[in-house]
Amino acid sequence: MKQQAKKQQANQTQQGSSPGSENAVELLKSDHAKVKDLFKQFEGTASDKEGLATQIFNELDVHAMLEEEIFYPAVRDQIGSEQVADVEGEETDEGETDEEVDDLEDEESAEELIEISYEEHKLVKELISELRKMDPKSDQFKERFAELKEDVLNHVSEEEEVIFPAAQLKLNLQELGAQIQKKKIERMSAMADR
Amino acid sequence: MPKSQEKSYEDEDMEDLESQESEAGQNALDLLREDHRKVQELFEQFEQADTRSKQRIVEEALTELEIHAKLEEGLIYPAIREETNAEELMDMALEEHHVATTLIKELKKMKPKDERFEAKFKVLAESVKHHIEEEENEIFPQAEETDLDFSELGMEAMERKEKLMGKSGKSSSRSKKKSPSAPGRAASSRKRKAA
Repeated sequence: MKQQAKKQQANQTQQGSSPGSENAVELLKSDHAKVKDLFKQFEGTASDKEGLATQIFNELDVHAMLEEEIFYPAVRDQIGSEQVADVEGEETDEGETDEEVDDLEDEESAEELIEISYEEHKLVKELISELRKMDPKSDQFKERFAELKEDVLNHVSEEEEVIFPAAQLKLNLQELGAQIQKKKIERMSAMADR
Repeated sequence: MPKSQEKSYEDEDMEDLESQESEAGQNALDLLREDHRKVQELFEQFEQADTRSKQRIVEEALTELEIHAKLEEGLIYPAIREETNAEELMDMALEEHHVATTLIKELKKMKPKDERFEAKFKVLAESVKHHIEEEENEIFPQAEETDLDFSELGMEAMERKEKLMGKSGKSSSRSKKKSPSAPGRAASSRKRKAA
């Protein structure tokens, strides 16, 4: 885990941000990309699906924690009651226009979107908690895991298409990025030490 | 998503629907579609409502959703599963029910003034809307390709629904729809033919 954190830090530096000051949105997007890739691997011919699933759950847990403790409070406190920018018709990575994203952005303020995001996290955590207790070889695991994936991807689209653009306009992303990176390393170390 | 879903009736005596209902039973899928429209309407009302109305709307939506889910899981889904090859679709539908049930359970423990009550209801709404789309666009069309007698299923669904609504303390609005049956009218005229 420590190795991963170091690697990520190196990647971030290579992406053009100055050493020690990572952009929060880029960090979070990088997490999203990683999880999407893990989901793809899971659907492929990977032999250790159980291990992959556990890795996905752990990545999601850490990522959610970083957003809830650092990113979401910043968005809520600094953008709060403002209506968020319209990004209609934008395609998700999955290649389809996400109608649900369009529905939300017409009506919600940044604060409301953050509240919804917290609740989406809760739902994902609930599913992860159930999945951790299930037999990974069972049909029900497969179905619930598919549900988890769909909910995660939907949530990621909302963040990347609506919340992140707003954050990019209004927040000090370097400062937030540094906080996120620090917390991530702390958390990874704690997990590695268990 | 359009408010009113187009009904795919092929039956030519569609105008006589009301008077036929009591004898032959309403098409089960249409019954479910009506439930969908009702719940979608409640979701839209919620967006514009004041706090007091929000409480009423949520209570009504949760009751409707619970009854609807029981009808589907107890009666409709098993029938469709048996007649189609849509195992995965049906399994996914059950998982979506599980998500909705989880959220409903949590919402029932909360009050509108609780911090994330609204947000949680909105997450439920988005999840249900997505589920409705999948049902109406993927599951129902496949079901309609089978030999299933949806009139008969509809009759049974109505009976179960009345019982469930009675249990939840809700008065049935559907019983008023029934009109006196025409004597001798054959129920088979509403039977769906296999595609």
